[in-house]
Amino acid sequence: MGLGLNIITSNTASKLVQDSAFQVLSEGSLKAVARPAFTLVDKSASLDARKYSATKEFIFQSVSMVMYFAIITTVFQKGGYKLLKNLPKFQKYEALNGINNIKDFTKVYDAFSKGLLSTTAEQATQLQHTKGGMEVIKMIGSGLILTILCPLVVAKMVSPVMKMLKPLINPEVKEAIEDITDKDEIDNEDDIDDVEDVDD
Amino acid sequence: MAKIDNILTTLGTNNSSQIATAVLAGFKMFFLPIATATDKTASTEQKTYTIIRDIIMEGLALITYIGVTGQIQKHATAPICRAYYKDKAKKLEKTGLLNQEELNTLRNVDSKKIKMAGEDYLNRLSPNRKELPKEVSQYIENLNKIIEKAEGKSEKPLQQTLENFVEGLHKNNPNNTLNKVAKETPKVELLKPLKVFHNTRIALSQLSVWVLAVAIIPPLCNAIISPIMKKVGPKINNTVGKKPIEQAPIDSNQAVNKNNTVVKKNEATTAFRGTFPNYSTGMRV
Repeated sequence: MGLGLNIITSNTASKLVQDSAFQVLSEGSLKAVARPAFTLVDKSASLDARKYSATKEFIFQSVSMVMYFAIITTVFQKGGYKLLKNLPKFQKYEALNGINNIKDFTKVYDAFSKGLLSTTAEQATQLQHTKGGMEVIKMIGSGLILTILCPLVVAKMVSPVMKMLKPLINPEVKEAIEDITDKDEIDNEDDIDDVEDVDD
Repeated sequence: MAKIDNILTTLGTNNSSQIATAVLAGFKMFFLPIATATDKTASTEQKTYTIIRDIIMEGLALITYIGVTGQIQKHATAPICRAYYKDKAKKLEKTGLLNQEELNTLRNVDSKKIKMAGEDYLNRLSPNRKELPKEVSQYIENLNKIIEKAEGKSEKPLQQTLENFVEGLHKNNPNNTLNKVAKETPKVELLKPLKVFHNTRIALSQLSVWVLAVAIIPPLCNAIISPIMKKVGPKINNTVGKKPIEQAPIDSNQAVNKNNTVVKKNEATTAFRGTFPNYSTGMRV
């Protein structure tokens, strides 16, 4: 109880949780496990559809986590801060004088949020606005990566990955698939006609 | 311009987890199905099921992240603050830093007043902000004084100006003062009510999002998708693969003929599902 309370109320947890990158990465990694598991348990579709959906979900979450980590923490954070400093609104901010990169800004804001820096009200507001601006940039980056880039990449990856995984999960299926792919595809309507012919 | 400032301040000081995750869920609800629809290698059933599932999942995420998380923050924050001070009062008993009356105040903090003050702080930028009752602000002030007493004035963090700190950064020696501060912080760290309220609120938002993402949304989606799939999705023939011989009237002695279309059909369907029948024995392999 005491430990849980200390964690929930701590400044460190608060600081961590307020970082958009942490929010998205932690939620995504949990979803990568939970969503495919529940999809496979669902009985409202065929096993094949469920496998496709679960595989897609797993690949999507995993790929997006890697891409997110690789792109957001580098391109969007570093470039985002420089971009922000060059915006007319932020160019006027005296509190940002001498803070040339995101690494320094993170250190400054960290000390500021712990109450270790004495600032004027104006400086405090400017630091808060800059932090807010960085979060907006991260959210835009998340939107671009997780909603446009990743789905397009992942949609093309699902079927090849499923084909690769199928024989590994059930080696007997591999032979059956090979046999079937050798044969011509049969149209459903023709199948029904043929079945009727056999019945006759 | 003032609105932009408010958004920036909110995201800079009170960036609850549900904001980013809900925004992303909203975008994903739109873009994920589009991406799935463009997959040419998937079958119609696979695509239909995945698209419906994505829309329901992200829709539920959007609604619950905002609605449920907001309610949890509203109702659970103040009781946790109360529990926090009760726990700290226990630890402070042994230190002798506070007298009995002050300890009693900490043990029985008024969570309603903390909630009112905390919400007032959150709404500080709102044009509709109502003035906090004097009784509440006095109560918070008294609580702050007790906390300051428990922390000890000499143990308060040393502050340096922003300019000095930035200068130190360029000399690659910024943490000297901070390390000194860390050593001087008291053993029983006690946060002021507004800080506790704020930190708890933020942490609860993340916890709530995690629980919803793992344990609430996926099973809820399973429950919702079932009736929708019955209406929209292709009918699932549950008998296929279970009793292939009964379903397709084939003589058990009939040899597996590659030209027999009935056999072909069953082979294709069962292999599709990961099993195939042995026609000589009637057993599924």
